[in-house]
Amino acid sequence: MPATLRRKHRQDLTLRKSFLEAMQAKLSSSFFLAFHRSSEKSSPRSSESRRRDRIPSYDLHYRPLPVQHLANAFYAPSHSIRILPPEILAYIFILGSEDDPILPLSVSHVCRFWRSLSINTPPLWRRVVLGSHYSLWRETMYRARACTLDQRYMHLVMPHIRRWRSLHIMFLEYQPYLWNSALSECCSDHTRVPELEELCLVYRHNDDTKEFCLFSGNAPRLRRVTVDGIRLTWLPSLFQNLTYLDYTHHGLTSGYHAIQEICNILHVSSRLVELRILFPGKAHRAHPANARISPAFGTLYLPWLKTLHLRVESRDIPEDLMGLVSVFNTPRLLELLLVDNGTHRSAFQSINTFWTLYRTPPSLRILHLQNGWYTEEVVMFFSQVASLEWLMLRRGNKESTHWLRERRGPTSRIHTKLL
Amino acid sequence: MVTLVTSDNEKFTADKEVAERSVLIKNMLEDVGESDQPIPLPNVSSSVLKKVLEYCEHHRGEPLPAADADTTQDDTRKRTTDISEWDQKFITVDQEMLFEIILAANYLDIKSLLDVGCKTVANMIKGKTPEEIRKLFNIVNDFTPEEEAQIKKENEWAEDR
Repeated sequence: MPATLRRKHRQDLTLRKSFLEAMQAKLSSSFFLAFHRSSEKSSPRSSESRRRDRIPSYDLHYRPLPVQHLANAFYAPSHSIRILPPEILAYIFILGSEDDPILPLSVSHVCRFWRSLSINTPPLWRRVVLGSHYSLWRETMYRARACTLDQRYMHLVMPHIRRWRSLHIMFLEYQPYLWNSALSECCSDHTRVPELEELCLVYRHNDDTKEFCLFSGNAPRLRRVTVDGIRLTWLPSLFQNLTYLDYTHHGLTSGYHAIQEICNILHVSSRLVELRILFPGKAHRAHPANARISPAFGTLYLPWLKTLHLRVESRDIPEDLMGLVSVFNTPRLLELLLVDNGTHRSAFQSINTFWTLYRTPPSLRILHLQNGWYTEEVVMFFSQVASLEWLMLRRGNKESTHWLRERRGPTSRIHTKLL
Repeated sequence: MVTLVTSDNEKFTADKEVAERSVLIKNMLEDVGESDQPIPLPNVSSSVLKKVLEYCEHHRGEPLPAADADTTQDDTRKRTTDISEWDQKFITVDQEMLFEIILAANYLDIKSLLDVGCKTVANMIKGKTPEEIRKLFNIVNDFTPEEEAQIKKENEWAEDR
């Protein structure tokens, strides 16, 4: 027995999770291993590739379907990507298809092996972004097999609403009553979305004040929501299980009413793990005398929140944003991202007011400061906070990352880098 | 410190915290207990391990994905092909090394590095035509005439969209 594997003390025989996963992966992927080895017979690098073959010890969320004709496919000898196991290659295809809806078709036209692999990877075909061509749409639905679907085209896919996994609707140009047209069928009483996990509704130019109640008020698997420019009826049966919310305020309310509305939303979605907030309208100057409006709202308790993004697009921090965060109670917050989408080189005028209103929780480990959020005083202060581990700074094109756990003191080095 | 021995018999020493970003090494260290014995990594060459340790060193201290993150889908994480600036520079290597890093990350069970590698390959493929992809990876078009006809039909469908 190799010395490294010899135990110094006796241990009970237990099957570790990693061992079980490795065995499970080995057994379930034996087909691919066999396939790879047979294909390497013609390869000049076969011995090296064989040595490197290893089945992943974890699940990559899917496994390509092993079908008979896949075994007949083979790589050409000159194939430089051949050392990757099929499940990793399929994972790469899926990652690419997130941003490029045509990618599944492209990779299926490269060679016989890639075609077999892509056609037998149903998650690759779950995104339906189609026009009027029925044949391609039907073929895509067929290749997606039993996979849930990501929908981008409403009128074609309403009959398949029970299979929807995600729904993304984005309007970039103004047209009156667009939400009304797009969502009318989603608001009918008989609409059911038992598989829907993700919802993204974006229409910044919306001026329709109507509030929409979606999916008969029920979406049991909904976890991720992005809303921008729409008012939704925030029912617990729809939104109470959210773990991710990217909320851009619609601008139809402001001040007390806006904060009240968002507080109500966050009371319902109190299980959030990640929250992003943006007030896109013009900034209201914050005056210390009226900025602390929190007593009217009490405390907003978000016990599971780990990541908080506060984004600003205006020249100063919106008063509504400051009023909102002043009521936050986030005992498990690990990461705070103070994002400025502008390119301001000077700090926001209300930055001091913000820090008097917002108290960072002791659990905070990572802090991002961008552009208008960046001041020397804030950097100096946080670099001395014992619990903070990472400080990420960005000003204009300059950015720097600082690991604080092992060194406290040379803070001048931190802020002078960006000045 | 942990000593790692590569397939070409080169020895590397690394902080335990750095080496344990590999779930494989972490589990091996837990199994072996306190020991000065080197850990053999027969599936990783020295040039690749050097890159892997550079990655682990840079990301030292960052939270590791939960042990069950792969089986219970992380609700808050959305798959994208975004790669941080440092990771992009790190992974700017030739194709051979890129695939070797992906294989090593898979073998050593370093999920974040595997993702960086796979996203890089995905970004190389994105937006390219099949012919461009073939050129990129030196892939031979081995379709039969029947398959070519089917592909042509699919292309016509796509163009009609």
